[in-house]
Amino acid sequence: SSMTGVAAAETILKWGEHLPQCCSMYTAAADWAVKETAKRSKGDLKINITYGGVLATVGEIPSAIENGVIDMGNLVTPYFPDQFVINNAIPFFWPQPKSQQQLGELMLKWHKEIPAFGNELAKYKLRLIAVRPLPPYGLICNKPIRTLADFKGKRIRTFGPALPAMIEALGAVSVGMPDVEAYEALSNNILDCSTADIALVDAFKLQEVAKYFIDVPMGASWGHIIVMNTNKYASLSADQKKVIDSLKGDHLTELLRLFRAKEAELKAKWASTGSVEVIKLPADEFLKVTLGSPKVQAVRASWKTRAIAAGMSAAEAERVVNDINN
Amino acid sequence: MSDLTIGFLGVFALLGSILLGAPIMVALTAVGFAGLILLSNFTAALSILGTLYYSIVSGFHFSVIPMFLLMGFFAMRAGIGADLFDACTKWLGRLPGGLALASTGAAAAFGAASGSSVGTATLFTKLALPEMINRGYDRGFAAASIAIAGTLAVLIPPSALMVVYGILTNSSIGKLLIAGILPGIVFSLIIIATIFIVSIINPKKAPADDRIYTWNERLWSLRMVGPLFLVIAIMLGGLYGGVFTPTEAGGLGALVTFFMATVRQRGFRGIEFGKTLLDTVVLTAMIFAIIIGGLLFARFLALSGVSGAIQAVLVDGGFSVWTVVAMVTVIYLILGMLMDAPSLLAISLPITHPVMIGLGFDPLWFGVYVIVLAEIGAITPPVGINCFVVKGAAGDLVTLEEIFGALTPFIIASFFMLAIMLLFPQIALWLPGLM
Amino acid sequence: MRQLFLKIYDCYGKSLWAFAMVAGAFTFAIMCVIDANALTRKLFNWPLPAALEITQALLVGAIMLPFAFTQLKRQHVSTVFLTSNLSPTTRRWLHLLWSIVGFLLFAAVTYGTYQYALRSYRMNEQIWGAAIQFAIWPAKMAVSLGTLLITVQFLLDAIGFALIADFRAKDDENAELQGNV
Ligand code: NA
Ligand code: NA
Repeated sequence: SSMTGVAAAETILKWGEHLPQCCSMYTAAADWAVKETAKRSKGDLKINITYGGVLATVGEIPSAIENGVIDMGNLVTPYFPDQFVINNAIPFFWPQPKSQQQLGELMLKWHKEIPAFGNELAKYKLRLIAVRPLPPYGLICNKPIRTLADFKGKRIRTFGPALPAMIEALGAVSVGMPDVEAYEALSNNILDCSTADIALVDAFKLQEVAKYFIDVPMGASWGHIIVMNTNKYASLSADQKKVIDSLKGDHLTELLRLFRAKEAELKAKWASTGSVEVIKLPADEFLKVTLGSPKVQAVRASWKTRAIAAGMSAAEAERVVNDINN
Repeated sequence: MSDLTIGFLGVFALLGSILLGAPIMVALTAVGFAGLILLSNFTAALSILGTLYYSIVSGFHFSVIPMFLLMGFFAMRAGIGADLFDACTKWLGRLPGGLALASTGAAAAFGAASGSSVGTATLFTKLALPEMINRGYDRGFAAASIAIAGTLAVLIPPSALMVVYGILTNSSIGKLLIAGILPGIVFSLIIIATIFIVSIINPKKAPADDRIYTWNERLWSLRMVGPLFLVIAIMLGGLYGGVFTPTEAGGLGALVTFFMATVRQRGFRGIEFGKTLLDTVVLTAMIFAIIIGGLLFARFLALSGVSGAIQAVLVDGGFSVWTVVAMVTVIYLILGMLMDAPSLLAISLPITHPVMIGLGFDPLWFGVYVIVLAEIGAITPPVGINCFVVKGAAGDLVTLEEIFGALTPFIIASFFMLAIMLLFPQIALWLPGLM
Repeated sequence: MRQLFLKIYDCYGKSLWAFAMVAGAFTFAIMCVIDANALTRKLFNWPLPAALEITQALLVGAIMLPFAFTQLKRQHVSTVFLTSNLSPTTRRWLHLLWSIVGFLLFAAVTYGTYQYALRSYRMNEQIWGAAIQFAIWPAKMAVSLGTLLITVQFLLDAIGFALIADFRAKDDENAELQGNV
């Protein structure tokens, strides 16, 4: 605009992202959102993403947005199960039957229809802008798991509140370990398996050290939400708000498109090169063993208790649980 | 005032306060904090202080820094360095510059057990310098050869400085450590060649050892190398045998050297257990104070746009890659004269790392290159930490002027090392590429 | 007055030593936890419960508690090649300046980190280890404790440089030897 001399002062939004810029569908979709924002606002609204946690590490992002260090960023909700109890419903339910797309749509629907979701974010001056559901999870293993009994005694990397219970229900050993260590640990048999989606397998090159992807109906998983400082959002013009609001669904569509393309590409590559064998285990057997575990059930029940304590009505909490499971 | 102006003023304020004697961690943190207040507001800047410390000091893989330091101190108490020097002397002593060659070889090998350049230089000053001077070595040459040999310990894993680079640039620490192995070996060979050449040209500087060792003595001396090989074998065995992850290897190394020190000193009293732990935590606190300050300063630079502006000029400004590499190198040589290695990395990397990556250099390669540059800075006057500690450990045996005066051949050798890294980047990238 | 101050300075220094020794014990404990976890994982297929999370919590103390002792021992690196040419009086005022800056800065750090820890305490934030859960706030408070200790150390240094002409003058002679990596 300075070239034409009109000098309309564009609004610049600072987006802090803990992921590195290179090579993930999340950041590709973020870059798409940046371009789209500029286009839809006709240059009136500009977003600058600083990647790689330079402005805030993953643990600092909500506080950095709350205090206006940055205007927006990716909030990895599973890292904050006690701060964002309500928005953390999904990680308590493993296994569950929902796909990546269904979880993304569910989260958007909850935010639209159940005020407790937005209120919890607003308490920390955050507002939902977009969602990043994860693809369906499975297990990447360095030895074949052909029956459920094969899980017995296997060391499997887990994280979060619900995965350890599910893994232990299978008779396996749950191992806590940073994600960046998974490659080495799989290569020298410290781990037998790691929970992962296939894009994650590719990102950490786990297929080089683990040749078996065990397809079990764990369901997709939750990742991040993109949030903006509420004051910053309020300071935007009506037109700018409209542009930002329009991203919600479109960003999800783009993210899912990128994931589907990547998944198809990887699956074709695995099949044609034989680099990874996908082993499908009987779904009903898997669900019976895992859902039959009292520990798994206890973790699921705990979310409802926590959500009600955090200010949700029992009916709303019940609806969320049903939305996830049915 | 524009954000960019604030950013550049911050850079000057940082350099100014460091020159005026501010503790470098205070300078980095204070300028970063003040800059963030100016760029946003007090509450926002305060919130960054509030969250940054915990997010860094609770990072599991950063536990390798205290573990590597602990391992180095225990290795020292276990007498591993003394044994290596003894063995190397019996094999290399009769060559021109034999004792200097022996101390360099032993220091390089000791680097496989210690992650500290200064610690290694201190140890070998005590072990080798008195004997070299007794045998008629030029004082400065002998001391300078030890000061430079100490730097090998941070190229060869374990290396606390490599971990610092990894934290500051968010790079793979495991791969960085592996990347340093070959350059460390090449650099030790270059230093050995330098000592050899100087000793042949000017035998007065380093008279050959006249003691004669029989082959029996030599072969028998090899048993002294055993403990080091045991450490290396256990580390590699633990890693490839599926017992330890790379992050846990520091804990394993500390445990192994702890047992060796306890056996060697026959108990806890001899290993000065309390003092060893105290030395370790003081160094750990010193390093992390600089890392956190550096990360805060980096945030300030990123928000001000200075990092981006410099990157834009250097990457898209039509300079040839080699011009930029030369500029970056000269900046490190100049800053390296003035400060220690962790501070140098903390101050420079927010600017140089994105530039070099933007130009297409591999972050692992740049890590090793920067470590070599930082270690050149560790010997160059006026602030040459390794020369200071050699002087400190040597007492009245040598003056600081004598050490600085004898550095020239070693600085030439270091430039040769930089040239090799530029011409053959594979020496840093080949091993991690196999991982 | 001067005697009293030096006495307080000395006592405080001893307590900093004690905190540094606690950090030393934490460091040794980290080594033990890492090794025990790796061994039980390999030998008994039983990783130590929450070894990762315990290491993280210990690491916070190991790093933060010795911050102040490190300052007392003048081991936070600084460059003296320019200041060593200045007169002792000028050096004293520069030391006073940096002590005040350090005091104000770490007072702010302490306040900021304390607010952050307090929030964690209020929401009863937990470490969600694979097998056990425990509260995060003690580790977050340890950060504030470490920075509080160095805040007070900077304050005492500032008072010392303001009141006493040759306060810690001997340090300047050895200053070149600082820095250890
Ligand atoms: Na080393
Ligand atoms: Na220097």
